[in-house]
Amino acid sequence: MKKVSIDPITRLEGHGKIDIFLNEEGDVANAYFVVPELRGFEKFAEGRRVEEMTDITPRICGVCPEAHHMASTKACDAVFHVDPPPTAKKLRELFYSAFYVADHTVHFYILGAPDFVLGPDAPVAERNILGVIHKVGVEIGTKVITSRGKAMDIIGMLGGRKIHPTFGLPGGVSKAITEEERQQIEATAREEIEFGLFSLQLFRDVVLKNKAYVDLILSDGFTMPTYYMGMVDENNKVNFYDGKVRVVDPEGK
Amino acid sequence: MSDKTFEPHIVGFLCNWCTYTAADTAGVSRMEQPPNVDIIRLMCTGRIEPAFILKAFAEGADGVIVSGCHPPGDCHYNSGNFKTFRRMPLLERLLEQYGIEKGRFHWGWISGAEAPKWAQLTRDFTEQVRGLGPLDWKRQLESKED
Amino acid sequence: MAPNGKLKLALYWAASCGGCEIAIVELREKILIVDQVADILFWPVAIDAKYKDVEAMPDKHIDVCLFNGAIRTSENEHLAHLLRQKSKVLVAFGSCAHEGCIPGLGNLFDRQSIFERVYLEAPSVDNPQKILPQTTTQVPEGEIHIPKFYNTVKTLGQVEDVDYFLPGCPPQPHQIWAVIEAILAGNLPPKGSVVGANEKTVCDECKHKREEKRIKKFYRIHEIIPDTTQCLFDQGIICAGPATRGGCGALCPQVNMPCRGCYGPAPHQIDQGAALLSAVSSVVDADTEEEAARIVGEIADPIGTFYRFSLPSSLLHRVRLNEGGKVA
Repeated sequence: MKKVSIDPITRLEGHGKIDIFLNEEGDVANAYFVVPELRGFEKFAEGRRVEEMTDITPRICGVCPEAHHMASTKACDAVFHVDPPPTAKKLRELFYSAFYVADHTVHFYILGAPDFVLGPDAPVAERNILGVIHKVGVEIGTKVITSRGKAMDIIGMLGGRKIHPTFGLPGGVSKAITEEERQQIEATAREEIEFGLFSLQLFRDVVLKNKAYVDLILSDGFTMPTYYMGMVDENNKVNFYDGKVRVVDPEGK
Repeated sequence: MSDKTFEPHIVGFLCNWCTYTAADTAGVSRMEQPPNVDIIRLMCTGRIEPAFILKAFAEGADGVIVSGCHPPGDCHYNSGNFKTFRRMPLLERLLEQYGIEKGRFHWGWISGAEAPKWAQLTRDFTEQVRGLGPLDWKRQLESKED
Repeated sequence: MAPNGKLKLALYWAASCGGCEIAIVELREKILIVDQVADILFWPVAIDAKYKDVEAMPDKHIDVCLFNGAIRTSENEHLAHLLRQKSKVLVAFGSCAHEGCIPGLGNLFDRQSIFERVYLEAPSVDNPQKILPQTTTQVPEGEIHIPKFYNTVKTLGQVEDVDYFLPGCPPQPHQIWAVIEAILAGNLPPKGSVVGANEKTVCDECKHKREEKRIKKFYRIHEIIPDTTQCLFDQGIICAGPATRGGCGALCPQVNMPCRGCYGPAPHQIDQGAALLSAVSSVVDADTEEEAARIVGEIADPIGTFYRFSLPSSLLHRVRLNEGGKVA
């Protein structure tokens, strides 16, 4: 059979290709998602000092290093049977929440927006963040860059490096914040809420008001019903650092 | 190939004032030594960076010797050998983690007056490394990549 | 330069985490300047160009290629050769390409033991048929190929001719920008140079106060609460600063964490791990062999500590393999 390869797949973190086999009629007989990468963290972590997992595992992913950093930090708490003090937990939650804002901004605007803002018929050369900025304008582009940057600044304040920050210790964190820093962070957080609302509105205006896009999003090829899993606190509100695991079905129940 | 005995290639880092003098005396005195040890003379074992030993192994040495003046008082520069005995135990552990057996690396002290001790060391250490077989680091690296 | 006068830029990731890509995004508003002065021809994280687009380019079509990631598989190596062919200037971008970085720790093991752990032994793996990766797999419709996973991780410079080395895990954005400016001004140093870093060690940029080092005991990062104004190494925490090239701004000590060495060896150091081992052991406060051995004996995992980022680029490159190509 004829094989068409999409190689590499783009606008995500990671390596992948898609092999599509076409039958004699030219229809898709089957398609395979192929993962051509492996580095072996599961193995080479063996024998390393456990507290260094917080600096080794983030190198699994440079887009979400904070996730690996926090998971390994919590694992270290468990290994040493320690419960961090409340301030440390709050700082970890702050660190992780700032990451969430920066990370989702990257996904929304850099990885996903090219498809939704420019549409599936856009020329390949335009289908990227620079094409998005050309379409929505430099002012909005700058707003996106600045908002993401402010969230990254919080990460840098706590973790030193903004990419692969180093902050978590078994039983705590390595850095406290001053009152001045706390005020700065609070101001940023309020601005990020505005930016989040702005992004949602942009999505409504540019994507949801465009019937062609909506038809595409809701079509069979672009929809995959899944369950959803996350953590919630005792009030059933989402908490990215810690909490009870909550699973919701495709209908949201 | 089968009846050719493996001749270890050994590199010795010797300090000028003590062990090198002993080796010189051993040579002049025609004490029996195998030809397997290539000597590198330094002014003091304190000059030895661990990288020298790693480089020796990387470049083909099957065994490495480091030998200098007895601590605490013999070092020509007072405390160069203090640096040596602080560095060498940690280097030994690193070598083991690399897979280089303990028997391939010898470090110790031989004074200028101890020529027979040097000659004995060359005989003993050569046999010890012969028993361990070739290390041949570069070739083993290239041949194992399939 | 393209007919429109813009620099033709390509960015690629081999065995990489994507942090170097995010470091480019961290140029923040300067990315808009990059958009004005450069055309990005290939950058899988952000644009939709494919391998076949690179293959179709004439030789030396790309002005500058920023290549990050270590060489772990045959695909990584293939792209290294392809991008070298298609680029005027090839930059080993970031610690993985420069010295191996964290994926380089794979050189503590071998292909078979890595495969067995990942696909058979790991607690969350469900693989009852015990399938391990094969470079060719037959499916009913035809054949599927995946790259060969090498036994040993290599740096970019170990498989291809590299023009410049830009270290860091990841390289700091202000350093990346300095290099981009140098490229635009045609102001690069001689081929083979390290760029985007300084000629000193991390200690030079560190704000902590350094005094005489006399270490009676080494502490792991969770074993003491350090004085946050004093050198961490002085206090017994192993900090790679003395063995690491400067230029990052000594960010980790600023948050009271030791440097781990991600900018690679300092100038003139031929082996970063050996340099760090020497720095750490030389200042042990011991006047007898027994005391020295006892103090350094407490340091856990020398190879994983001293060679955290630099194992493939080290003098020995990897842990010894036995006759079967496996770690003994």
